[in-house]
Amino acid sequence: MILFKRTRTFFFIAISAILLISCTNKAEEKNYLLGIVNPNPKLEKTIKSFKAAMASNGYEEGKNISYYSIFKQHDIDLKLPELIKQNPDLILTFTTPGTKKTLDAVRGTNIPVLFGILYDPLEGGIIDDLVNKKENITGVKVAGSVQKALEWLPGLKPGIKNVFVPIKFDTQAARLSLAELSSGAEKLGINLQIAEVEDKAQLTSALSAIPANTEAMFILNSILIVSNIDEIVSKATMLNIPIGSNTGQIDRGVTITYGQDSEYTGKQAARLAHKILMGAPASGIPIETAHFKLGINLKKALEIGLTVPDNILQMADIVVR
Amino acid sequence: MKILSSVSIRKSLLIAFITLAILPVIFVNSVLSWKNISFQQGQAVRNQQEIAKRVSIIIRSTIGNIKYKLFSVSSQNNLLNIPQEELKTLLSKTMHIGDDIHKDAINSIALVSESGMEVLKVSRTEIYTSSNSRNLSTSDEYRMPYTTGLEFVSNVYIDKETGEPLVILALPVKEPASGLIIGVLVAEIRIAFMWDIITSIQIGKAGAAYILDSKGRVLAYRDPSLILKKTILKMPPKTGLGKGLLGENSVTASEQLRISNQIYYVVVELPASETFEHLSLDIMSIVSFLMLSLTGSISLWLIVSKRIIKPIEALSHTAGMIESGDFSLKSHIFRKDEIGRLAVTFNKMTDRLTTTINSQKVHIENYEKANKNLEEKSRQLEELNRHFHIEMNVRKKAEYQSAQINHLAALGLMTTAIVRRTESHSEAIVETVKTLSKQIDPDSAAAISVASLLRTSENTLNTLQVIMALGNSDNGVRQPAAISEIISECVHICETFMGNDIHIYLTIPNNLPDIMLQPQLVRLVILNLLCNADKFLDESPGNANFDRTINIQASEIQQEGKLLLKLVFIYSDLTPRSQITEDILFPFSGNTAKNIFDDIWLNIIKSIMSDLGGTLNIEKSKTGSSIINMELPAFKHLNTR
Repeated sequence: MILFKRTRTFFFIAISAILLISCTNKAEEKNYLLGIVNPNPKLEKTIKSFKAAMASNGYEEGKNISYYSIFKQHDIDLKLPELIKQNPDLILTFTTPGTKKTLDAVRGTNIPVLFGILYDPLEGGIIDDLVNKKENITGVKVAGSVQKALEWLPGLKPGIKNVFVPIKFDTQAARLSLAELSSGAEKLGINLQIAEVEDKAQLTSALSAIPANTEAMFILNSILIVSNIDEIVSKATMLNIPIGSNTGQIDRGVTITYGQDSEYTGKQAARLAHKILMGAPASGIPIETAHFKLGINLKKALEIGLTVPDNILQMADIVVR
Repeated sequence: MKILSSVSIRKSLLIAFITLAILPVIFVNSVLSWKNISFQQGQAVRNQQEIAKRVSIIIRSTIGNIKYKLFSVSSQNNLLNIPQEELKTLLSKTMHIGDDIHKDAINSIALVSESGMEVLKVSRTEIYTSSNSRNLSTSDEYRMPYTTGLEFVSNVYIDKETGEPLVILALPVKEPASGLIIGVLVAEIRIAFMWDIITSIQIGKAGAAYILDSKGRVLAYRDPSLILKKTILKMPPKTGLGKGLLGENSVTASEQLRISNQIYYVVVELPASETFEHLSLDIMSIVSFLMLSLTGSISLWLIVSKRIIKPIEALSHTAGMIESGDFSLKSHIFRKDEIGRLAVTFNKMTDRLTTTINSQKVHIENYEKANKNLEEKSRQLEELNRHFHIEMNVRKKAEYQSAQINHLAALGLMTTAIVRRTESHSEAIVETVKTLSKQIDPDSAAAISVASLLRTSENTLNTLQVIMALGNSDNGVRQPAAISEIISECVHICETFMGNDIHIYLTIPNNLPDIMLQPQLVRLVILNLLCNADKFLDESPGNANFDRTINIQASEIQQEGKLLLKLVFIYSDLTPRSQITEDILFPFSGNTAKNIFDDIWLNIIKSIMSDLGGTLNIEKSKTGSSIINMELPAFKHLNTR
């Protein structure tokens, strides 16, 4: 009887060991943690698109990926260390300040950083080279479309020479995009009527003081300006002048845009995130330029009395009718 | 076999069981696994080749579409003469219209004139003005299409501004009517779509696809850092198991992709570990089987050990203890099988052995006790014996002495009577002979005989007188005596009687042992041996004078632990008589008691010798001499002379 019991115990241990070995052989599905640092609420659309694209790549929130989001500027300093402690697989950042703080926080760790949208990380001081980066970072830059966006305006309304540009330098992108715009305007022989404002009141005031020869407006990457786009659109409509922009906002009444599309950029960032999560080092992935899309708000164009040429409509990626 | 014989049964069984468990499983599974490896490798290569083919088709198709778009522009009539704005719209439309991939793929399009100067350029990011116009007359993108009339694809390069991989696709612009080349359409193509295609392809869990150019440079891979580092692989890509981009052991398959003048290779690679993942499962199965077999074997071994080896070891241990003398140990195996029965028999045997040994011990103890008793008894018996012997000796001696005394007394009486009778006869004979001799002519032969007779008679008379004297002096008391003195005395007497007729030589050591006896008896014997030897010795033929030589040698000898004195009388020219005849006993002839006195001398001597505890024998030497050996008990007197 004792022998039987011993033998039974021995068999039990042996079979358990075999089962244990078999079980350990099964690959355990990884659960990813992604941090999102986005102090700009206007980019929510991009994040949504990013998450959707991630899901289509197989990263389903709550299933095999979870997001730790920091949405407010003042939360960054508070919550970022907590996020780093959790050793996320990747941190998705937006805006130059948000990206800078994140990059400082992850320094010394292997946590990769992916910026979803940055106007120009090179000029913004995030990286020192677009290809050979020292930091474990990559992302999508949106610079490069301002000149072309400006170029599209004469196509919509030939002969434009004076363009009103309200701006607040509340972002790095605002300065850089204005510089790019100025360069393009010079090439095209366009005169920029730059109105620097500090707040909404000043904007209102500037709008009310638009020069009489103004033939178009141009919206750059300024939070204040983009946040008050409705007022600007309203004024432009009143003046029957088109608005050009590199920031999208086509659905908010901007007549013609050429630049990154929030949805598409979100997808683009998601593709880079997928690469990183697949094992590619972020530092080795070249920074991509956002896909620039041509958008026409046909409805607004007609409203201000413009006839949009067919070839433009044919080339347009987005048409708001 | 010698090694095996020295290995314990337990180890031998363990080795045997494990060998039986492992070897067949390993052999069968090795064969199956080898077949499986070949099959899986072939299958993986086929699958990967299929993927590579599909990727190359997608890329070829995408590039083809782009080329088609550009071709549709380049083949337009009078392209170079179209107004700038119209041309710009045309090129912009070409660049922007299409699906996502094709639309975004073209980064810029430039129309180059016959002279190599850019006529117009549209770009996604730049504003083109006439001041930006470049002279491409020396560049390949112009020269190649222009000179060959064939489309041209440049090497892949990275745009330093955007970090994107680009190639230049240049098509000749021909005059439709004449077919003459009038310009070149140069398009900058973003081939990031190739990266996206490569990245989007899921090849197993860890597999990867990549694109190499003809020099082996990596153009598209999921990790762009390798591209940026200008990683170069060995060309052409190997199909099958070998070194790849993923590591040393990868299964790779490739598909050549030709786009215009460029040759690319789409390579699909899967780590060998994943390719042979099923093999890993097989190995796991083998390991599981092995473990099960081992478990079974070890269990079996444990059972066998428990059921057979352990009891045998216990029995062996018990036997060992018994061998070392501990009989208290028992084999505690309570089973009904053969080993159980063996254990029971063993225990019974041990019990029996114990009983036997115990009884033997009792026997030994008894034996030892008996031995001791026996020894004690023997000792007592010896003691008794010794006492008995002493008593017996004393008694015997006493009896013997008594008998001797009686015998000697009788002999003495008899001798006295004989001697007295003989003495008177002898005196009469002597007187008669003397008278006779006076009457006979002294020169006659008879006179010689008479003289001889007279001498003999006188000797006899002397002897008798001596005997009488001896008999008178012998008081029967024994005392230590030195034989040399006795012999010397006897020799002196004999020479006195015998005169020149006798020559006696003595060889007598000084320190001879003494004899314990009546010296007179010994003297009598020796004297008779010297003087009356002729009574029992035959005189030598031809020697009528009885002129004899006697050698007397004395020595001590050890015989049977006794000290003896040996006297040897060697008579020259004399041999023992065959019998004592009347002639010899001449002096006593005529006596009625003649027969009674036959051998009287010899018998007397022998009797005396016997009485003295000695021996006497006569023998004849080879030279004809007679030797009389006398042995007498002797002892070393404290005051040996």
